[in-house]
Amino acid sequence: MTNEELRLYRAKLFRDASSLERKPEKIPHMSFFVTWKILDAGYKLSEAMNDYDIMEKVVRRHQEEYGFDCILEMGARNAIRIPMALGNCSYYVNDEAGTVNYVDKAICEHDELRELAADVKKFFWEKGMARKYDKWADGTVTLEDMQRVVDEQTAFMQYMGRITQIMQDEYALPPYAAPKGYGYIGLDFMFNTVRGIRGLSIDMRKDKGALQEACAALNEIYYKPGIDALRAAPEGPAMHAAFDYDLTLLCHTILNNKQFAEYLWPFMKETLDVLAEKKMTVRLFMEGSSKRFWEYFKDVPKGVIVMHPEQDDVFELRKELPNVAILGGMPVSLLGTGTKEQCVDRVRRLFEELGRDGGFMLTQDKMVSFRNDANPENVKAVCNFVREYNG
Amino acid sequence: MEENRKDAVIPTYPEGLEYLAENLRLPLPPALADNMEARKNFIFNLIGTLVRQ
Repeated sequence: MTNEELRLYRAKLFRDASSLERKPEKIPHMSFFVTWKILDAGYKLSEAMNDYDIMEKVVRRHQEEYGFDCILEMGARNAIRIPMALGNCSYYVNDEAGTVNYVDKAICEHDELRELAADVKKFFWEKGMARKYDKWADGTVTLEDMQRVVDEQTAFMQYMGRITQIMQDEYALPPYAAPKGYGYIGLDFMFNTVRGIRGLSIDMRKDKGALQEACAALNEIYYKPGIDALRAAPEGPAMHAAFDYDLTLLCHTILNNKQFAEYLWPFMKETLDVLAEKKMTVRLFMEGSSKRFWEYFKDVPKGVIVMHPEQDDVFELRKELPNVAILGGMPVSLLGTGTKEQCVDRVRRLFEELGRDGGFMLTQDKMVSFRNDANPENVKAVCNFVREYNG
Repeated sequence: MEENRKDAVIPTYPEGLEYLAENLRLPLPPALADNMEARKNFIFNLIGTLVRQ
């Protein structure tokens, strides 16, 4: 097989498994290793996160060492060089502990929600930026500083283009997704950036009207253009990639069923309907547990959703949602503290019970981040078993 | 310090956005390089990235 043939073959494994109609020739294995792969390659986090040549070596080594069918994260997760051009960022990198922590800092107060709703751009410019960046707050940001930000963003985009091409051409890996537009749902933006976990919980109890106005204003700028672009895209899946679209959500972790129905589901449904109409597939990663919302997904046609559960049981998911393909199943806790035999036994069970008729792709249940999240010997044992499995 | 003040980014909107759109070197395709709307969109997208980081 040439590299191009192998890359398309690997993409087809994901496509066949996602369809729930065709059993793939073998069960595909995706890497969801994030900062772990930097530590595994012997670098400090700050070294790789600040040097794209080192990050390229890390990603190359990850594939050379383990041999996945697709890599979900190639060094894009913590793009700290862009904000650091302004002097500070919300990521705290601790090289000694091998950890990256994100500071949950709200950029908008509860009493300012209507001001945000009135003009998002003005609010971000005049208040949001000042609350994130000390230099913006004290008025000392210069044109030169902002030029550095633009140049860092350009360097990041160039790195992403380069590493994607290298992994395609030299390692025969398909891109993990080929999104036509990306819609960022307002409530998730509120949760992740604007109000934070605590703030959003307060808003939902204290002044629903103001929260709805703020979400609507964010949706206008960050969700609507994405869904419009998806709607305008030509029909049919991008067969060179594992999936067509990605939907990663975090805010549902604090929602009850009623709040989910009101704030999140209408946008998710709209997106899923367009994807179904276009015959496209989404990887749906709802962090934490999504089990209490599974009822909503029961009528989505086969081939649209590939669900990547973080905390929910994959065997239960298959029983409850037979219309949904599954990506996941490998607990990071087992990779970190189990034996090689236990890890391989887990994969064998997944393959025999969930992969027997298709609809299953193997990956880790969580973003593999910390050194102790996975024992490299366990990862190798799993990768060898997957390559040799002939079920 | 005096020099810094002279080219300091304007903290009010939309004046600050217009100032940056007029003065930054942006990696836009040649056809859009002089298009003020495209330049403003590029910068506002960058501000969106910065508030999320």
